[in-house]
Amino acid sequence: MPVDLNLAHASDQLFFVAIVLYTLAMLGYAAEFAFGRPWAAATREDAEIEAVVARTAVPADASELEAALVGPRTATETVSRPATAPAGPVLGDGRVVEVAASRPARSWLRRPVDPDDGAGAGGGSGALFGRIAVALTMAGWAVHVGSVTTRGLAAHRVPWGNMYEFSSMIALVAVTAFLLLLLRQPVRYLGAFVMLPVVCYMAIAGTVLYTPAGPLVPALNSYWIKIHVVAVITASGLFALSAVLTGLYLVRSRYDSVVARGAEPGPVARLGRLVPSAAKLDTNTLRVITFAFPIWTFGVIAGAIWAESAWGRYWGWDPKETWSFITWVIYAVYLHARATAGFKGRRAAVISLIGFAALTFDFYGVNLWFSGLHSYQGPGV
Amino acid sequence: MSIDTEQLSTQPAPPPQRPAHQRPLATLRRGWRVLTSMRTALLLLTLLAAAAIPGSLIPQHSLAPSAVARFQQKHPTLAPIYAKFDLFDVFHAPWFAAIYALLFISLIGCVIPRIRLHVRALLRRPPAAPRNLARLPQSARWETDLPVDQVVAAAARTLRRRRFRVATDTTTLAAEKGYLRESGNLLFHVALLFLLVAIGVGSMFGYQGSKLLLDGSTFTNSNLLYDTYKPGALTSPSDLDPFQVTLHQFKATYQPDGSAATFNAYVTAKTASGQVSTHDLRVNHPLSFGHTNVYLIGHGYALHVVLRDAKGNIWHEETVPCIPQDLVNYLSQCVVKAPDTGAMTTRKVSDPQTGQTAEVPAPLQYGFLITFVPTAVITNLGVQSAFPAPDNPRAIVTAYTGNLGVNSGVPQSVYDLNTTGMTPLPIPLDKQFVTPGPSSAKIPLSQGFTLQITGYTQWASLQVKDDPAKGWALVAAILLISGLLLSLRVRRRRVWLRATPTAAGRTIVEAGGLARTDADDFAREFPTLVGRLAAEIRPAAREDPECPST
Ligand code: HEM
Repeated sequence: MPVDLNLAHASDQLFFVAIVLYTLAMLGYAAEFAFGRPWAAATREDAEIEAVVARTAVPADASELEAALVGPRTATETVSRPATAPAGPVLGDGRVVEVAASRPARSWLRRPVDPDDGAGAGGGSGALFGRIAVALTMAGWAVHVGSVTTRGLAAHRVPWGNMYEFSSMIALVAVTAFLLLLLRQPVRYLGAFVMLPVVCYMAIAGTVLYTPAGPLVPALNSYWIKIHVVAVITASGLFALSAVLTGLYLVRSRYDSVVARGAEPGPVARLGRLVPSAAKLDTNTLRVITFAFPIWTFGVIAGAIWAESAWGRYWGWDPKETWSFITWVIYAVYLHARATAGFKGRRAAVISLIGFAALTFDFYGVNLWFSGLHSYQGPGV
Repeated sequence: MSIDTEQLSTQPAPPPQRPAHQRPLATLRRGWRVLTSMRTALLLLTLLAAAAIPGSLIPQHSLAPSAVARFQQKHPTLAPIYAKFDLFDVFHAPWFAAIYALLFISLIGCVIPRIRLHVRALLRRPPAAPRNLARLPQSARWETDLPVDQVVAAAARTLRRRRFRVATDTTTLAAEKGYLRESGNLLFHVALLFLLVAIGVGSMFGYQGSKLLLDGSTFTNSNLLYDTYKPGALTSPSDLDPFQVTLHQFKATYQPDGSAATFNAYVTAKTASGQVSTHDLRVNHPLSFGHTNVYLIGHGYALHVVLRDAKGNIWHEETVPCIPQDLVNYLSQCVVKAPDTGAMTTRKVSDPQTGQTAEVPAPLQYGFLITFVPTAVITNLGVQSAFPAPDNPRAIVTAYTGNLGVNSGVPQSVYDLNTTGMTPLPIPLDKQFVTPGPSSAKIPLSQGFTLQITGYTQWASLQVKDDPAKGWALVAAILLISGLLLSLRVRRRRVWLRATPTAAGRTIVEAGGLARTDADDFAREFPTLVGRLAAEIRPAAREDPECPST
């Protein structure tokens, strides 16, 4: 079937609009930092604020009595510890569990209330910019989905058959993961740091890597492409997110150590006050990698099954396979390092970044510099 | 953390540091401990990843032998050093195998004790409460009116409903959940071992061969009939299933830009027991004979050539496969060797002793290099192919006479013509360039001989791959993924409760919790769980909604 040129054209235009919306969103997140004066809360008080109210995720089951936490001991709230014996259990850190309350509100359009989660105690116009940025991100996401869908319809196939399309999909996965995370946790502070690489990625995809819509070469024409490529793209988008978190972790932990020394943080370290505590970033990195690792493993195995049906062997140490393996091993080392004591923090962060470097090389370096079977040609001799 | 010596993992505790005994047994035992430690495993894993890097950056014999040859020509000093360290064949190098084997042993040494510990943990009650619950990472404390025994019973009920494994005594309760995490982790590591075994067995007992088949020809699976044949270390020729494949027609279609659209090889398969079936063999759709698969991996053109003497007698006739030089537009090179012509010629030989040359009679032999161009266009670079389909097919012939060396005892490739010691035969330019076909112009050679290219056809190259263990590798991979998911998604945690009566007749309840990792969100789950426990540990509700008291 011939390519539907109108749809292909529409896809390209939507792609461009998505980049514009994402860029505006990125500026919005940046403006939130600029006008929200996040540093007001983020320096010395940080240590005290660590122990602020934690909203508990409580099952929504209405028949169950729900527990929530009240009565924080914090400098920012006026409620102090009750003088009389508390009504509910007292936790180790002094917070009181009360056996009644409603479900915690969703956090996405609102400025994070928990300074430990969000970007400090700013507010006002800053928060407004943040909310606009989230709305722009969602609009950009919808347009991006439209671009991917129309491309698939135009070419009558899955829209992930060449590097332009892979890059677009990886960016889409990263934005989707960020938006999903935003539904569950107040992570708006991540916005600027996610949108920046996404916009760069898409700009490179739309220029250097751009390929007009067309059919797949026979070697790619298999249902395994749907399974293998979807898994690999999903895992890559998530690993990209984990790399952003790791980067922020390193910035924040540098900021913490500079502040602890009583020195004035430099221009990069100063970014640290925009983001939550190092421990939180570290935990979130681990969570994202823990989630992505089995997907990557599955993607590599699906690739081996596909290779078995296309080329007659499930593993042949072709450069693409070799680098997928290297990436897999590095993230496995990361998980092992985290599972045993003594390898936390910065050293683990470095492993995570090395893993992402290997992944990036696997995606771009191997395709551009090597001509293995994965360079997507027809069968050779 | 000193409160809980028993971790939630079965990772063996580090051995106590002992004074260095000089006895060999102690040294051995220490070596084994070091080898099977997690740290060593990490190191070996990293080494394995690092060792794979040169294999992707330096050309490899197993993937691209011609690239290796090119590299060796370009770097005459570096190449021998690389070769010495097997850098052209990293994945079969002894040092790569050594890392692999050490990791394998380390994994076995690590997994077996962990299985033992885990089984023990599964059979045992959850470990008893530590003395001071308040020092656990998660703890809570509250008072209730309920007596101690009812507190423990109510808490046990609540936790059991949440699928904790619970053990109680009169005043304390210990509960644990998420044993599947460790089971999954062990399943993962054991599956990894099995995968390595399956890969090894498959490569030792399998084989791989390739065969170029012209349209209309038949191949029988035998190690003697392959163009290339690579058996495993323990494969015997009798392992080859003697099936037959006949290629009726290979068909390729292309996009307007010349990229491939479809490749189809229409074949008939005959199994060893004589069952015949027809197939459309395509890329991604191999033909299976048990665990042996037949793949379509390449295609090309073949020319039909006829060599006649002056009287018109045919001395040589064959369909020669041409090897594509350009995988986009299929400009291809064919080699024809005609050692028998029935005619004689003279050849110069030099006497090594006297240094004199003399003309001696020798049989006339011809060698031809023919370039086949599927869609010929004339550019300022000469004749080029503009499209892979045969839209404007042409052949360009270069001829040589002299000694082909076919009987010299030195093995030769049928796809190469060694022209040293042969003389190029001058052919007028306009006669060199022909359109293959039954009425194609005859190309004049020496002594009245002519060469005619009477047509072209296509060939397909088939790869036969037998991996008797690939089913096991797949099973291992599935188990590996399952184990991994359990290991990374199941959350393992322990909860303890202690009830202490006060002088005032009430009961103090202390709870403590410990989770396997901080990423498990236990810090959020624990308060919820405590809220739940506090809600359930209450005097029985006055009215029971299920039995209304009328
Ligand atoms: C000799 C080699 C190995 C040893 C001794 C070893 C040891 C361990 C141990 C002790 C754990 C559990 C950590 C804990 O529960 O505290 C673990 C977890 C794990 N291992 Fe290995 N392992 C080895 C090889 C591998 C390999 C080759 C891989 C894959 C590349 C791997 C992947 C994993 C994963 C994904 C986990 C789960 C990590 C987690 O619980 O967060 N292991 N390994």
